[in-house]
Amino acid sequence: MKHLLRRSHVAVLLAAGWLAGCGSSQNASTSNGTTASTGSATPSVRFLSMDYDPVSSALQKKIVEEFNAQNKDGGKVEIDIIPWNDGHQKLQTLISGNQAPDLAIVGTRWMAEYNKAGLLADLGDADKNGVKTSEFVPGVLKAGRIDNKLVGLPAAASVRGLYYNAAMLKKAGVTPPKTWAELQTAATKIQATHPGVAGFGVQGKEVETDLYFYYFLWGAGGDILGADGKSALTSPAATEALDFELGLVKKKLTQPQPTGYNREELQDLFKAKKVAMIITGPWFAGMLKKDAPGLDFGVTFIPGKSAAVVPAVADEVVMFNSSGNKELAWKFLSYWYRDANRLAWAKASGMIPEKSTTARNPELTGDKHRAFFIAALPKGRYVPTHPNWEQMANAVSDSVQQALLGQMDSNTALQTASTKIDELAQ
Amino acid sequence: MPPVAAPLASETLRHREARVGLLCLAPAVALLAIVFLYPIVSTLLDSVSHVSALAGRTGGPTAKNWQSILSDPAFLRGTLPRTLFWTIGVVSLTILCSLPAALLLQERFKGRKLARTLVLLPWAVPLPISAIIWKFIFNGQLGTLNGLLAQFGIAGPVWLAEAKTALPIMIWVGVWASIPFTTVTLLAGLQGIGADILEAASLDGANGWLRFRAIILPLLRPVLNVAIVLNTIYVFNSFPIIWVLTQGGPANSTDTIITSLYKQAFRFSQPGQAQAMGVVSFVVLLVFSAWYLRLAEKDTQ
Repeated sequence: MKHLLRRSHVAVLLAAGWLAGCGSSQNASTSNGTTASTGSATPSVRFLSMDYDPVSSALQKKIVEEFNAQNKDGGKVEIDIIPWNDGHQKLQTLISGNQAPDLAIVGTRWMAEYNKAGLLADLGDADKNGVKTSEFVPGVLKAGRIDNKLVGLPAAASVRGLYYNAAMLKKAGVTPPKTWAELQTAATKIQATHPGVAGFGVQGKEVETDLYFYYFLWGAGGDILGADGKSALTSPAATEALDFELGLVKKKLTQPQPTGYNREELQDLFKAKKVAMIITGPWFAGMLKKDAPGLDFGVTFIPGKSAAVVPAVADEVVMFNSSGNKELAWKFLSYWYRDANRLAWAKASGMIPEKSTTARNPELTGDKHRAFFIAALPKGRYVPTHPNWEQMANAVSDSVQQALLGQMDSNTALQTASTKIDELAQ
Repeated sequence: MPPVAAPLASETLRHREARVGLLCLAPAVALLAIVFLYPIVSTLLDSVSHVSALAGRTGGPTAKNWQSILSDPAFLRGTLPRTLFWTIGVVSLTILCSLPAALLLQERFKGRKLARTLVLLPWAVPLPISAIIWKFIFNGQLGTLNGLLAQFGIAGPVWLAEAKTALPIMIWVGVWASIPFTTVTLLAGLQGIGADILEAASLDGANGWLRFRAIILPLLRPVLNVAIVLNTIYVFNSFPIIWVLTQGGPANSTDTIITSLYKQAFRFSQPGQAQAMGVVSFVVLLVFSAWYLRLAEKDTQ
């Protein structure tokens, strides 16, 4: 027994080392090999795409298959669709192993990091390669531009809006709010007429917790980064914005304990008629029609202190410099951006078409909720592109959460986030 | 026949045997070097280098990664002690629940087979799936638990919104997930204890508690030690439960080293700092395992 025990020492110690020591290299082998088999003469392009939902993933695959079918002699596209949550990790592993794909769909928050490392191709000659930039919605291209270099084309665009439960607003005798004051009044009146319902929903955890704060920050006339590239969160507008968001919680005009709710869980509360107003994206209209068919809802602009706020988010398709088949990649992109394909995409995913030529289609404008988002997109405002954005956003989220938990007052919270952002801005 | 010839021949034979022996060992040594040694060395090197998430190590050695994690109060005073709390909490509660369960399952009773199967059930479900189910149960307003409490007129809190409720839930799920492995291990140990010894003790008038304390526990010690060490390593490095339930939030208040490390490496693209955290957890586990097993060995002697 003693002998056995001693041997188990060694095994345990080694196991400890191995479990503790596994780092980024561990996953490298899982992703290679599958698509790298380009032994034949026909060129191929690897496209790493992201999963929005099962229906639109099936559509992405279908579009690639159709392209391959009509491009038999010119090479083929191999698409790999992975969950958003794994995207950054997977790309990091592929890139560090010199296995970067030719094309990839990325969040704008990763794009700047890859651009800074010199990995992204300049897409400025899109027009010469069959992708007409004039057909895009004005303004939407700027999300893919860094230092006047076009590194990304919009692949999925969304605008955020205020969803409201129309029946509850009607019963409370209020109209959809246009300003902060009206939002507060509406929430108060709804709660007075609907016991057990929260007037307004606040997201307090996970990805986009910071964005929920920017809805108010922009609404107060503030911004995240100033013209000098440093934090602008110490401005009076920022304090006012955070105080307003916290005030709604303190006055019990929101669901209790917002730090327990991510975006999806907030949407679930709205579906369950536990919350009368929330802020989210265009996909939610489709979800509501499917999951809560009886729910009478409307969408309007997000109220600001005095003027409406139109936050927009665009995911981008980027081309890697390392691609050996840029010509084929462009050929595929021009097919990908055909109006018929983008229309099918908008219908499947619930996103807003980034091309005006697609957005005009009556199939989309005939739906009043879609029409609202389509009309709003040109006015969209985006978060900054910075190589350290992911960490900056996290610093803001942490501060907002600490303020929501009552561990910090709004000034301390914003000061803490500002210090971190300034360190990251250099 | 000169008597010297025989030992000479056996000498060369022994030499040859030794060489063949080494040769047979070589593949195992090579495998160990690749699988264990290389990652450890690579992790150590990364932790003292500038590491780009996209291009690997660049430049000479630097203390920057270490400075940044050791000067971060959130890591030193938050994540590190919390990781120890989480590990000790889960492991001790697991042992406290598994030992009686194993003793019970060792007894003969009607439905023992079914009970043994039921204990194994959590093991059959992948950890992330179990964690997702628990997340539904502890969901704020729409969760199963709060729905149940509402039936009795109690308004339950949003369980995962704050560390003071989220941490105990994390530990509860951790214990729930660790019990099957531990119970089975202890059950195997119990079955190795001869029925004759226990019978002899009974004849000598030892009651249940005395039998447990004087015979079962000492004889079970080696197995118990292995269960404690292995559980400690698993739990210390356990990622899915925490990630699914809270992602270490709100504001990093439920982060352990492993979730913090993951964020640094894959969200914030700071592999150097992540590797430094990896070294910290490696050292903690190494020291613990060495210390505990030495203690255990002394005990058995």
